[in-house]
Amino acid sequence: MRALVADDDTASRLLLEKVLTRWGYEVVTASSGEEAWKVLTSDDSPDIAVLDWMMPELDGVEVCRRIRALELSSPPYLLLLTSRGDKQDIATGLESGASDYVQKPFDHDELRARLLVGKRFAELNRKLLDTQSELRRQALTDPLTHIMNRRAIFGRLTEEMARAPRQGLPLSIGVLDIDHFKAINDRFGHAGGDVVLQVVVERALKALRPMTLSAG
Amino acid sequence: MLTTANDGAQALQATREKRYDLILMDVQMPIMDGMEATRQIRDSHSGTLNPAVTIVALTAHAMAGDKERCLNMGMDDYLAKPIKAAELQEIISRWLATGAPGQESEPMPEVMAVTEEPAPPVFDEMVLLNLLEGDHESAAEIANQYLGDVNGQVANLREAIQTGDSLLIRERAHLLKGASASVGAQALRYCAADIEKMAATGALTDASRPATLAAETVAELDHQLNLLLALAEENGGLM
Repeated sequence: MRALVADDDTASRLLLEKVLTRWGYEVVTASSGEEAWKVLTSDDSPDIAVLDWMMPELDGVEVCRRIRALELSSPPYLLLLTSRGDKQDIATGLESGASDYVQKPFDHDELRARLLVGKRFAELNRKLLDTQSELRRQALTDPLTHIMNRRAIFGRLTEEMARAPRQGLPLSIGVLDIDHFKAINDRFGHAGGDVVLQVVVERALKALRPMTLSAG
Repeated sequence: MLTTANDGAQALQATREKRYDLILMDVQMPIMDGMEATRQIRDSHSGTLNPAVTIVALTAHAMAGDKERCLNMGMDDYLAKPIKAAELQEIISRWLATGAPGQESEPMPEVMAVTEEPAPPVFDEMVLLNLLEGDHESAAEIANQYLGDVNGQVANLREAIQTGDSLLIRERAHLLKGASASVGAQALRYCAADIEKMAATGALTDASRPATLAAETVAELDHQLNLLLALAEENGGLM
C-alpha cells in the first residue's frame, strides 16, 4: 500500500519514512503542503497520507480541505499530524476533511493502529469501487452475448439521436431479427438456441465497424 | 493515602476535592508556588475543605530566615531539601500523631506531596528506538539528521524572538518543538513549547514589558541547545 508522508521538518519526515517502510508501506515523501497536494492529485496517488498540520504556505488542514472539495470516488485516507492536544483543534482538523489525527511525538502502537485503520479503509473502498463497476457492467450487458442489453442500447440511442442532428451527421439504425427462432429451440433445445444466438452476434460484430453499437 | 501534585494550582484544586491532613509543599514551583498555594488554602473563601490542614514547607533555601518566611505565610513546619528519611519520619509522626498508634478505628490520614516534576532529559534515545523497534542504525541516522538541522532551527527562532514578530516566533518554535519531540530531545522540546505558548499569549512581544523576558528566553534556548550539543560531542553523536 502506498503512503504519503508530508512534513517540513526533515528529521520527522525521515523518521516516518523509515517507520512506515518497516511496516510494509511504499512511502512517498513531501516537504511542503504544495508538494503533498501535487502527489495527492497525481495519476498514481497514494491511498494513505500522513500530513503535518503546520507547514508554511499550504498547511495540512488546507490540503485536507482541498482534497475533500475534489469529491473523488476513491479519496485518500488523510491522517493529520498535530502536536496540539486541544479538543477544538482536533475538531477543526476533522471538520476540514481529515479522516483521523495522530499526535507528535508518535506512539508506536497508536501510529501503527491508526495506519491500519487507514489501510483497511482504502482496501474496503477499493473493493467497493470494483464491485460497483462490475455491477454497472452487468446491469448494462447481455449475459449471453456480452453486448449491450435493451436498457443500455436505448440509453445510447437516445444520446446518439440527439447528437446526430446537432452535428449534422447521418445516423443509421439497423435491426437484426432471426426469423423462426422457435424452430431452432424446438429442434436443438434452449442450449442449442443459445449457441446460435452467440454465433450470430459474433459474425455480426465481425462484419460491423468497431465503433458500431450493438445490442442483444 | 498519598496523593501527588506538580504545582500549587493542582494542590489547591485537590484540597477542594478531598480533606487532607498533611501537605508536604515545595516552595519553588512553576505556575503557582508553595507560598501562594498556602495563602489560598488558608483562605476560607478558597473552597478548600480543610483550611487548617498541616502544611510542611520543602525548600532548598538554606538561608536564615527561610523558616520564618514559611511560618509567616501560614505553614506549620519546615523541611530542608535534600530530604532525609529520618527527618521526614519525624515530621510526619509529629503532625499526624493523633490517637494511639495502631488503633484500628482511626481513618488513614490523607497526605499530599506537592513537588515540581523532575526536569526532562536532554535526549531520550528510547523515543526513536521504540518507534523503530530497536533499529539502532536508522535511529542514529535520524538523530544525526536532527543534529544537523537543530542549529539552524534554533538560530531562526532566536532571530524571530529578537525581531519580536510573534507569528514568526510561533511558527519557528513549533517547528523546533515538533522536530525535538519526534526524536526525543525532550529538554529542547519543552523549551520550544514554552516559547510557542509565550508567543501565543503575546508575552514575548508585549511592548510595555522590558526586553528582559526575550533575553532570558533566548539565553534558556541557547543553554538547552548547548546541553544537547555537548551531549552529542561527548558521546560522538546522540545515539
